[in-house]
Amino acid sequence: MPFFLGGLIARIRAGRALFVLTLLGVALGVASVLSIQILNRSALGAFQGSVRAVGGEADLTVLPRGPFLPEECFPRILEQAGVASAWPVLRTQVAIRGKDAEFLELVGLDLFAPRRLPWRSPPGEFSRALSAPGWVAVTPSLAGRMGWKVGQPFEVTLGSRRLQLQVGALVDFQRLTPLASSRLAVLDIAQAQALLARPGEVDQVEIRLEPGTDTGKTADRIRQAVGALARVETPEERRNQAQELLGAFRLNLTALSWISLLVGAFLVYSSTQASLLRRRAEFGLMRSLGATRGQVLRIIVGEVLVLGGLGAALGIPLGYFAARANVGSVSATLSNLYLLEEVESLQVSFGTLLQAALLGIGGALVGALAPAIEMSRKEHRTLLTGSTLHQRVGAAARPIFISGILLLGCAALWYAAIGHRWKPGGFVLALAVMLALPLISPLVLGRGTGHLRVQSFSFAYGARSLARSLGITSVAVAALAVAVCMLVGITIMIGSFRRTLEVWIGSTVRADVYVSSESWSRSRGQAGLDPETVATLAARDEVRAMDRLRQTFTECGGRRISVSGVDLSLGGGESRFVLVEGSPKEALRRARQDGAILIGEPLARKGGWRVGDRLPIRTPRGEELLSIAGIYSDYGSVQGSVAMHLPDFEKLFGQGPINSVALYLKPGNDSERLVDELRAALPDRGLQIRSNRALRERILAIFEETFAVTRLLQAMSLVIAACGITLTLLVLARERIAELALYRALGATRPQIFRVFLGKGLGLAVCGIGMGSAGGLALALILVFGINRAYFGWTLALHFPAQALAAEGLLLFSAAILASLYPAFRASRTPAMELSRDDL
Amino acid sequence: MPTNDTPALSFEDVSKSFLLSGDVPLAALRHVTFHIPQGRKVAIIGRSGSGKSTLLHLAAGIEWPSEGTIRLMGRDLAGLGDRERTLLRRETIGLVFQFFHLLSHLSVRDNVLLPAWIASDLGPAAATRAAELLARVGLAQRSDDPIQKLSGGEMQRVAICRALLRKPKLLLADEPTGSLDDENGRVVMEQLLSLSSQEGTTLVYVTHSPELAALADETWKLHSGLLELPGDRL
Repeated sequence: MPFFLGGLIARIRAGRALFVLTLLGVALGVASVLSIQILNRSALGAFQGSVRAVGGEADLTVLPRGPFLPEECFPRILEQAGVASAWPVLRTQVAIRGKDAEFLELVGLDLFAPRRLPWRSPPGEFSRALSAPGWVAVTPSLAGRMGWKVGQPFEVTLGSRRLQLQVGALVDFQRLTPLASSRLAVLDIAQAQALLARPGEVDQVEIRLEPGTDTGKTADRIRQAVGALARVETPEERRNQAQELLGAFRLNLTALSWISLLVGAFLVYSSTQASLLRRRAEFGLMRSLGATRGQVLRIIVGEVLVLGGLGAALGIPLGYFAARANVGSVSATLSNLYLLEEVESLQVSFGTLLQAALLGIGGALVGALAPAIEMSRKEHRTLLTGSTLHQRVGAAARPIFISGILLLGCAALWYAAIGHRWKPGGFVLALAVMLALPLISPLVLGRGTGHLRVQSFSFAYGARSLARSLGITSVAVAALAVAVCMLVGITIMIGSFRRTLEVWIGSTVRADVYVSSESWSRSRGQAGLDPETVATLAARDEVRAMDRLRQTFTECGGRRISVSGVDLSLGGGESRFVLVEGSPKEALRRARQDGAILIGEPLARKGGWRVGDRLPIRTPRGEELLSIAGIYSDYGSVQGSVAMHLPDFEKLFGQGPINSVALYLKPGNDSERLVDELRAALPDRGLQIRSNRALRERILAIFEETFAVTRLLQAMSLVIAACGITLTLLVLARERIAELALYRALGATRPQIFRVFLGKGLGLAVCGIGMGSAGGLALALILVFGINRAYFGWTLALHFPAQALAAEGLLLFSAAILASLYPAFRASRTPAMELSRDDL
Repeated sequence: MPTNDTPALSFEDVSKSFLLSGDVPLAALRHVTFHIPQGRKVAIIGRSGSGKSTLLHLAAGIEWPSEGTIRLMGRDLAGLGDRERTLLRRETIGLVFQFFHLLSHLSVRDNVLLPAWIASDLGPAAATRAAELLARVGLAQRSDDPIQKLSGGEMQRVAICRALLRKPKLLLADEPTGSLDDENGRVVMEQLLSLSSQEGTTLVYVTHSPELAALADETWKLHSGLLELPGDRL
C-alpha cells in the first residue's frame, strides 16, 4: 500500500495539470447527475410535504373526481370498518395583500378530529383556533419574512374575495416535515369553509386505519361507499401519480445530466490512456520483474478508483450547490406548468449521495477500463519497445466509422418502423446518435485534418498533425462532439419551442387587456372575480367586447384536467384556438351549437383521443360523454385541458363567478393607459391587470425559466469537453516533447510553436463542433418530433434560432481557443535541449 | 559585420555546470577556449559524459554557458534573447543528430524542407535546393517515400540534407554515425565531409571513433569537461 500510494502521489505531482483536469471532469459529471437527482427527489417530495406536515402519515386519501368532495362523504367514510380516524382537508392558495407575488397555502383541518396531530398547539390556543375569526397558524420563517408577530392581522385575497386573517400561532411545520412549504397556514376547517365561501365542500379526506387492517379491502369498501364522487388512493399511488406527472420532466433532465457524466468518462479515458502510454516502460519493467497481468491491472484500477473517489468527493458538494442554485427555476416550472407545490428545500438522502459517489467512481472505471485492460494484456517486450496505439486507431478508423454509421442507420430504421410507437423510442434513437459520434470521430478527424494543405509552420501545420495521434485526439473530439450535440440539439429544440410559442401566443393572445385575480395563477377555478368588478370592466367606454373565462379541475379517464368555459360566440373566436386537428369554423360551430368540446393536444396524445371521439368528463352531475370537435395546441400545461362554450360549462358545472376576463378595446384606445387607469380605479379588488404585451412577456418569461436547469447542464458538459481539449493538448505536448525540441533546434520561435498548438486546438474544435452540430441537428429532430410529442404531447414547428446558434458557435470556438492557450504556452516553452534519444 | 576572417565559432573561457539533485554542481565544461575559422572541419573526440554534446548545444545557442563568451560568426550570444538566438540558429547553423530526429509523418522531401517551413521560406528555390541535395546524396528517387522505409544510413543522409538546406555557415553534428554500422557510418561521414566542403560550411562533429575523427582537418579531445587542443592553437 505505501508503494502504491507513494507511486500515485509521485505521478500526481508529475502531471498536476492532467490530474486536475481529469478530476474536474469527473467532479462536474457527478455534480450534473447529483444536482438533477436532488431536484427530482425534492420535486416529488414537495408534492406531499405539506399535507404530511399537518396531517401526519395517512394510510389512505380520498380525493374528488370533480372540483370538490361534498361533506356528506365524510360520515360514510368514518363508518367503514377498519377506519380508525379520518379528517377532512380544505386546501387553497391565496395571495397576500401588499406583497407582490407572495402566496399562502391555506389548509383547513378539523382540529376536533380524534387523532394525534403531529404538532402541539400552543397552550391556550386551541379554543382561540376555533373561535377567533381568521385564526391561522403560520411558520416562523414565513412570519419572519413578512414581518408578522403573533396576533398580527393581515389580509389575503382569493379571486376578488378579501379575507381577514390573524397570526394565531407560530408552528414550525418544516421541522416536522422538511419538505413542507414555509407558506403553510393552518386553520380550522369550519373557519376555512366560511372564509372561502365553500360550505359543505372539502378537497380531500385523510384516513388512518386500525392496525392490522387490510388496506386494499378497506379502500374497496370506501370506494363503494363514496361511489363515483371520489377516488381512493394510498400514499404510494399518489406518489406514483406525481412521478408519472413529472416523469417526462424528470426523465429529460436525468438524460441530460447523464450526458455530462458520459463526457466526463471520455475525459477519464483520455487521461488514463495518456498516463498509461507514458508509463509503458514502467509497466514493462514490472512485468519483466515478474508482475502478473492481474497485478498490473489492479494497480491501474486502484489508481482510477482513487481518482473517481476524489472526483466524486469534489462533485458531491458541487452538485448540491448547483441544485440549490436552480431550485428556484425548477420550483417555478413545477408551479407554472404542473400546478404543483413549490420546492423550497432540497431533499438529500444518504442513498442519493452514495449513488452519486458510485456513479463518479463507476464512470471513471468505465472510462479507464479499456485502456487498463489493454495495457495489462501487453507483453513486456511490447511495453518496453514502444506504443503503436495511434497507428492501431488509425488503422481501425474505417471499420469503427462503418460501425457507427450502421448503428445510426439501424436505430433510425427501427424507430421509423416500430420504435416511434414506443414512448421511450426517441431516447433510444438519441442514444444511438450520441454513441455514433465517438465511433465516427477517428476517421472524420483523420481525413478532415490529415489532408490539409499546409503552406507555413503555423496553425494549419498543427491541425494537420492531429491525424497522427488519433488514439488521443479522436477521444477529445468525441467528447466535444457529444457536448456540442447536446448543446446544439437543445438550442434548436428550445428555439423551435420558443418560435412555436410566439406564433401560438400571437394567435391566441389577441385581447388588449387581461384581468384576473392575484391568486388566479395558484388557485385557478377557486379564484373568482366578483360580479361587480366584471360589470365595471364591461361598462368601460374603451371596451368593445369582453371575453369571460371560468375554469375548474375535474377528472377525465383517470387524469386530472382543467376545463375552461369561454364565450365562443365572441367575434374572431376562431383565432383563440390554434387547431392541430379539426376545421376551426366547424369546430367552433359545433362547440357553440351542439355542446361539443375542444381538447388540448397533450390530452389528445396521451389519451389517444381524436376528433369525433366522445370524452368522458366528471361533473357534479356524474360522468358526461362530450363530443370532441377539435384539438388545439396547448403549451400552458402538461396535465390536459378542455375548452367549451361558457353556457355549456355552466350547465355542467353550475353557476359560479368568472375567473378572468379579456377585454377587446375600440380602435384608438391605448391598452397600457387603460391598464394604469384600471389599476387606479380598482385598487382594492385584488386584481391582476395586464396588457397584451405584458402577458406575452410573462408567458415567455415562464418559458425561459423552464429551461434554466437545462442550460446549466449544457454549460457543465461544455466545460468538461473544454477540459478535454486542454488535457489532450497537454498530453500531446508531453508526448511530442522531442518533436517540439527539434522544431526549436531547427529555429522555430516560441510564438511559432504556440501557433502550431493553437492550430491543434482549433483543429479539434472544428472537427468536434462540426460533428457535434450534425449530431445536434439529428438530436433536435428527435427532440422536436419524437420525444416532445411522446412525453409532453406538444407539436412544435422546427425552427433554427440563427442568432443563438451563431452566438454558441462563437462561444464554442472561444472556449476551444481558451482551452488551448495553456497547453500552447507550455509547448512553446519546450527548450531545444529536450531532444532525447526517443523516436519522434 | 562578419568577414572571411571572422571565426565561424569562438569559445572564450567557457564553462558550463549543471545542478544535480541535492543541488550538487556538475561541471560539464571547464574553461574551454577555441576559435574555428570558416570552412574548417573539426572533430571532437571523447568518452560518454566528457561534455561533447554540451559543447555542441552551447555552440548552437540551445544552452547558456555558466561563464565565458561564445561568438557565432562574430556575434556574442550572451546579449541575445531567446528569439534572437533562435533566429540566428535558424539562419546560421545546421544540426545533425545521432538519432536522425526525422519526423515520421513527413515524407523524405518534406523532412528536408522542414527548416524552410519553419522559416516561412517554402518557395520554389527551397524545393529546388532540396531536390538538389537529395540527388547529391543519392536519394532523389526516394523523395516521396515515408521515412520509415529508409535504412539508418539513408535516414542520416536525409538529416544531412535538412541541415544544409538553408546554406548554414556552421554545421554541428552530434555523433552522426553513432546509430550506424561501421560501413554505413563511414559512407555517411564521407558524404557529410564532402557536402560541407562543397558548400564551404564550417563543420564541427563529435564522435567516439578515432578513425572518423581522423577525417577532419583536426581533432580535439574532450576529457571531463576540459578541451585538449592540438599543439598549435588555432
